[in-house]
Amino acid sequence: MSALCPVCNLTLPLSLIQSHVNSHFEDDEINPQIETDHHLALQLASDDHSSDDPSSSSSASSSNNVASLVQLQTKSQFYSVGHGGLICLLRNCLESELKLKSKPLECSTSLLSGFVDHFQSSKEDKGWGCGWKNIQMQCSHLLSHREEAKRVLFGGSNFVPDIPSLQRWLELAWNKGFDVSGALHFDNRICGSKRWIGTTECAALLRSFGLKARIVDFAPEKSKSMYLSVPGSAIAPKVKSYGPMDRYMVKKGGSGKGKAVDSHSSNSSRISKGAVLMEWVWNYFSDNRLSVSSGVHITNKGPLYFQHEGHSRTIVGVQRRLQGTTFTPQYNLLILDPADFTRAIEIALIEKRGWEGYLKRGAHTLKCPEYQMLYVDNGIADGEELEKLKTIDSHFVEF
Amino acid sequence: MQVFIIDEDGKKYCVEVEKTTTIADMKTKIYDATGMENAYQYLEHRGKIVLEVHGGTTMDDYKIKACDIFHMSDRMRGG
Repeated sequence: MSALCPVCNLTLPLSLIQSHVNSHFEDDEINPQIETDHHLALQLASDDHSSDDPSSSSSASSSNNVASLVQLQTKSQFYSVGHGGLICLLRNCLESELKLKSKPLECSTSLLSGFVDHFQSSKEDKGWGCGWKNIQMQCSHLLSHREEAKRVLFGGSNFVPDIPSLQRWLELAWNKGFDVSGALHFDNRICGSKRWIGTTECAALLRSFGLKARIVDFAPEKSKSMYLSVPGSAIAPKVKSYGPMDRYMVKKGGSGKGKAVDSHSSNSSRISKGAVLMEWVWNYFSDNRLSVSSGVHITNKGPLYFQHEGHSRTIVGVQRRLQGTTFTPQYNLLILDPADFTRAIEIALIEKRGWEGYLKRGAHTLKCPEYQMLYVDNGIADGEELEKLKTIDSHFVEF
Repeated sequence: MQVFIIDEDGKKYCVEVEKTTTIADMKTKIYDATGMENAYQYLEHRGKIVLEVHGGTTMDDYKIKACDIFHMSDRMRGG
């Protein structure tokens, strides 16, 4: 089945026609003049504070940029959920579910991150803003749960900035030398852009504040040969890790780059790839504890930025059911999607009806060939450790 | 027609395609030229990510013309 585009009269398959017609009415970039004006405003703001001494160091101008950005940044508008927030409402639903559905041979445990605000996509950022929205969700948790993060994030402003402000912070991170290769992909410019971002951009942004953002790659077993650091490989560097997607490419006499591989994380022949990822998420939220009592627990863990090609979401928890006499674990990820309306999620959680459709995702939904996660470790890096964080590395889990 | 692929290191590759060539087929040609496996090729064309749609999206569907440039990243991104 095909249809005619009413704008350009091009015949296209029915599945593509809607996005094609919409593309006629979308600007690829926000007005470049606005962007230029903003850069000028930033420049002027930093000039006001800079010393008259022309030999003043670049670090001084960098701190001036930070100071002006702190002044210029805008708080993000979002729908604030009552009743103690979404996580509190989710906890209530999971506890009710436990009482209702408890079977004699079933043991259910849910682990949740602490407070997270849901940031939904708006008309302005539809189709490109999911990465930024997930950064905002991650930051909402950090600001509410981690004192050290509150002090350093966004110049201690204690609020989650809007997308244009986040874009400026990311540019500043690149200028400081965080993720140089990633910055090159964007020509070191992201302000006013609608280009997609991923975990590496989130990591660069958070790391520029000294936060220990970590990336985990989930890739299939058949791509083992693409990695230099596979255990047992004759040329495997023992503990070296490199950029998150810098794969070893087999070429004549070519050398490549590898990454740290978690050889214990999975046994693909034993469990499905969905279960590998689920198990990793469970271990993350349970802090690798072997026994966790049944029920619903709020952990001290932050949410996970969850990326696949084309979209990203935020994992705020995981549910495990041990079923039958063999106690086979069955997992559900508890996910907040920027594409969903916050109010709709809130109503579903309050009414305890239809909330599973918004938040629960089973192993069968994990159909992509590759996923990435980002989480933030405790503590603030400085000195040599901060310098090391400038190179975005990752942990590889066989998937 | 020929299209050009530029990787993260700035290396340029030339690939021969037709208007009816699917994105999946083009990725196989890119693999032959670069050694980068299909699953890890993230292609950007005029600032937009080129996605494989089930049923086989073609060059024509994305309005790709001769001598067009694709930027190939080995990083996953989303929107």
